[in-house]
Amino acid sequence: MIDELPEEVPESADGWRRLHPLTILKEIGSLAWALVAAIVLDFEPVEVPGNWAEADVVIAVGVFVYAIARYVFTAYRVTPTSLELRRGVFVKSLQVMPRDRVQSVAANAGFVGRLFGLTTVEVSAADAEDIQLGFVSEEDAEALRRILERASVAPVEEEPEVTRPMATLSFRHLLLYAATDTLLVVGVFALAGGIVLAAVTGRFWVPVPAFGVMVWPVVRALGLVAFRSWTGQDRLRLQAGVLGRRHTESPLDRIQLVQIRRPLPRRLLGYETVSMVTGDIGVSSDSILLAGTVAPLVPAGSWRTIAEQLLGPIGLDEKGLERSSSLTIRRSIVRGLLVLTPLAVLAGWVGSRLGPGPWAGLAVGAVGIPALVAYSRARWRTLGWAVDDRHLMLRRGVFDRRITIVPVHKVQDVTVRATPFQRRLGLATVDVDTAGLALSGSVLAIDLPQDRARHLADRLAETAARIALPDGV
Amino acid sequence: MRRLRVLIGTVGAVLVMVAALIFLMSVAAPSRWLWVLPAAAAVIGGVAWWWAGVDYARWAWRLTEDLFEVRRGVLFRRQHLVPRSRIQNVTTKGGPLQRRFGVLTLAVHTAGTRTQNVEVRDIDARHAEELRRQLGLT
Repeated sequence: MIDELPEEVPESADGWRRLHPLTILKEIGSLAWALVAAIVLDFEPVEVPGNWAEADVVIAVGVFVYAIARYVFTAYRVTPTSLELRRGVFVKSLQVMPRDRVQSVAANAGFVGRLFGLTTVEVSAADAEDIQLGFVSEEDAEALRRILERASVAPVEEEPEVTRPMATLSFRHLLLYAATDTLLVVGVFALAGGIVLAAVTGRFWVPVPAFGVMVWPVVRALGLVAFRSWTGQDRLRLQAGVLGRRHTESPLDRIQLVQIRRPLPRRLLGYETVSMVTGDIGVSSDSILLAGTVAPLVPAGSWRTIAEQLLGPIGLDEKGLERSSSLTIRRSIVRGLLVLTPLAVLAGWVGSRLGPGPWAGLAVGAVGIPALVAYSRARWRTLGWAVDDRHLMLRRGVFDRRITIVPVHKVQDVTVRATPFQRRLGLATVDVDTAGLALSGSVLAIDLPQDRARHLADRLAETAARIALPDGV
Repeated sequence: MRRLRVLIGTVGAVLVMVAALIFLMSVAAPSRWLWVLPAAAAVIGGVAWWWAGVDYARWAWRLTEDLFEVRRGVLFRRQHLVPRSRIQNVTTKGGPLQRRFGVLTLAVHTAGTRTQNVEVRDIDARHAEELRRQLGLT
């Protein structure tokens, strides 16, 4: 296998290879601040004495020379065991990433890149800094991807690629995805409230901050234009974007957990979102927009086909979830009261100052307490867990409901914790840790009776212990 | 070692808290409230003494065929279960006092991203080295 390498990535004598010459554009871009400074110097209204008048020219020439030097001193090579990137004009650096640590390889064609048929390749590993190679030609990018991913997958090269489509996102569904983003819904309500307030007070700017709330959901949705995901050759592939298109792939055995999200607006319309987490954030460090989303908007209940495509057959289902102890309702109400009581006191105080009298406090209590009780009961009905020899399934969240499925062999360690309040009620929380980054939030089974918690933790840890993994990840 | 830990814990807590109290009182309280100081020192000392003792006693570990298990915590109790096949590295470390008394702290790390170190404090040094070898062997 090692002997094939030279054929795949064209190499110079010692294996070092430069990036595409147009990378100089990028280097100049990263020195743009100096060019701006040069231009500012040029517009200096004060007569600059002597040679300083030419400072702008000197700076501009310096920027170009330095950019070219940076390009010349940057080179990469793929050895049988690692990917190496060397760079730096004055301060030299050499980045070495062992090939068997590669988590994902993403080809990211920005707008400028696509004009010239160039891409930036981002290689990320679980425990090392990402390596960015850009620009490289599309052929080189493809070759790099093939060659780097081979190290992380079992040698099945000769097999013809069988692809199984997973999810797509039509334009109509993209709109629906954005419209059911909880943050956008909140933003719309804030906007409506702001407009009413503006009409009452006559201050036209009142609704403006609401737009700020809506920016993020819109950006998030834009990153999913033309989304497509599929699997093939034991790899998951994601593609999205029109102008700056990105294509990411990740070996299926690197997936740490799969999460099904059903934020309230989406749940009401009968949809859900499926995402996954690898050792890196989502799929690749800067792809927060994609953030491991494998199916942005699918009809509720279709998660099973998708999750099984990623993790293999899943023997658990939502109906079989075991509930947390009902004592959790009590804890939730007590916690809520800790917030509600000061609120009611505050309302009473404000009320008595402004007119309606201390009754305002009672009103807050009269509305708040039933709402709190209803919420706490709903929370208890939502909390659930189930485990078999292959998977752990957890459900939580009244508004932002999410189901997390963790392959048991991905469990790194398990902690059973109990606060003094939990101990009084004989409860404990099981905290499951994987190598997946914290993007998924904590993986918790909350407020189980202590013996059940202990049983769950033992079972998880012992099952995981019996499955040896190559790197323990 | 237990006595030493309790001593350090108690004295440390009393010193810090009483220093803070002296600062607060010098800013805000009249001098006839001086009796508060010894009273506070006694209460804090008592609580810290109890806390340090329980903390020391609660700290326990166990090594089975598959798992390394650590239990700790006075009010907020936790039990860490670490599958031995997931251990990435094992560290022993010892401060000057610990080395003087021949004990070490042993910490176990996995590739898990959220759990803080699974640690056992004050294991007999020879025993800790032995344990480190055992844990590293799997």
